[in-house]
Amino acid sequence: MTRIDDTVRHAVHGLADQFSSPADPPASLGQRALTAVSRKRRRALVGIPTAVVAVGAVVAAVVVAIPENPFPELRQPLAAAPDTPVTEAPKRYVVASYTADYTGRRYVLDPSTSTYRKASRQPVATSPNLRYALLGGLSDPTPDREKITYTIEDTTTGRTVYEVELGVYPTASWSPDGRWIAFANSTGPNMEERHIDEVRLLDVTTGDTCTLDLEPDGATATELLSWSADSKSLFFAADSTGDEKITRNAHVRLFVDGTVKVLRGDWPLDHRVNSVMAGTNHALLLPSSDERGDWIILDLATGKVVDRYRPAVSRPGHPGAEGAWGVLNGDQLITVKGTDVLATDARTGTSKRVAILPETAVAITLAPAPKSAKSPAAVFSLDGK
Amino acid sequence: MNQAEREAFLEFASARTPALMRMAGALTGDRHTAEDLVQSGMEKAVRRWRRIDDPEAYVRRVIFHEYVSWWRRALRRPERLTADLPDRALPGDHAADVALRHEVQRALRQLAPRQRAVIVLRYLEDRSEQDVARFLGCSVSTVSSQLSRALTRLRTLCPELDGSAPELASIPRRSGRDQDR
Repeated sequence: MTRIDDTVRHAVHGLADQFSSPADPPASLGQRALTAVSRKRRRALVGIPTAVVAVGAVVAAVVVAIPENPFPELRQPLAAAPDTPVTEAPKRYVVASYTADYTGRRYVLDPSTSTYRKASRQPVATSPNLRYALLGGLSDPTPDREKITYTIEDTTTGRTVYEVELGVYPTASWSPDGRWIAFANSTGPNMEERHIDEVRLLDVTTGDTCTLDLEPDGATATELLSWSADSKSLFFAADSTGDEKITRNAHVRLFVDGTVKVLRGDWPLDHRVNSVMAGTNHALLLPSSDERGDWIILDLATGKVVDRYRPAVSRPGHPGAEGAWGVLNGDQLITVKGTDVLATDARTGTSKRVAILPETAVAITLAPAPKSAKSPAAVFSLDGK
Repeated sequence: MNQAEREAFLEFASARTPALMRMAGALTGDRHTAEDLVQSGMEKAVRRWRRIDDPEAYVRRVIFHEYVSWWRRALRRPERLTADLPDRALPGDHAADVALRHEVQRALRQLAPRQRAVIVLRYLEDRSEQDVARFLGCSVSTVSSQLSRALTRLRTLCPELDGSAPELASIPRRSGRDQDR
């Protein structure tokens, strides 16, 4: 036993001891859990405006029928927006879920038959029409030589239509128009300091790839977050591990033509990471996962805050805790509080319950439902494995 | 869940909440988040009460997996930036061991979730690396590298760990379960 082992052990025990006498009586968390479960079950019996499709014992999907215009004001342009979102909001979405058995199984749903197939690798993204799934997995896990193989599979036939082995490009995102898949690299001396300095773009219509470099502009980023609605730019958060020049109050916007824009503004530090594109020229910034704070709409052209409000749902998170979120379109979010699925107006923060997740859900993602699909599909995974 | 099962669950919750809070608190460093995690684990335990043999092991597993889940990792930034560094103890200060412990605790809060999970499993629960790997569903080499990176990160954040601090009294090693009881 080394000194550092002893010291760390001592510190961890000391830290844990600070939490060993909860402010409430010890039984209260158990009682609260019982109450929460019984309340949710009662709600489920009352009925909700959704169709629930149970697919086997392992995976279930909740098809959420979102009213044609649940928030009329959302269809109006943002107050200060020079351009408005170009995408028409789909009317139906699917919320698929993965069970909490913690086995690490992954499934892809075939939209033509509404049946799930076990995926050979980690599902990463789906094409906008849900016809194809992008799957990824480590092909060489050797440290310092990690390689990830991505495949694109036909969700109906299971046939692999494309395969590529990349270096450490652990994040990928499919553009809203279906044309591009962006693979973001991860580089740095250790996990804590890893960042993105390069994005490889695959044009799925031709198979051509190109590499976009963020570094010439002194930009590095931490997460590949979202595409703009017009599929012309990617939006990243810049983190303190990046270049000193952008360690604070910065986001990076990378255009598919290779242009990089580093955006600085007066938004709070806590909001810089939890941010998503909204439409073509705005971003929605959310407080960090344990913060209760305003949601902020940022004009990416000027870097100025155009609106801020306190939402009904306090913070992003994951099912079972308090509030996972996903972007439905430029103006709406899906948030999850416990097992309640809420459609949230990004402009005002008001929420409306549209579904209740299966009790076993531990992770969700969202996808617009194609008109041709009998039952919309989505890809789900557990714990990022 | 019938009345007898409710009573059994509440008895379990009453007895084990302090231990679960210790672990969740060491993971999150925040009481409210820790309570969220423990309650979330207990809610899942309620739903499966008839099917789980060891509720505490189940709840612990839920807590760890939720804590390190990609969903939360993608949205994480629990650390607070602060303009002022806390005062550090001078060499020879008789309170240096306490100050060092606080320094390490502060550094722990800045580790990535999976690194912190490995630290807590290894040093609070005294699990072997093999056991940690089984628990987190990853390879032993991944656990080793995460642990190594976590300790390296702690050394960076807390340089006093590398020798200038006085020797601390060793904590007796016990099993993770026993130490919580």
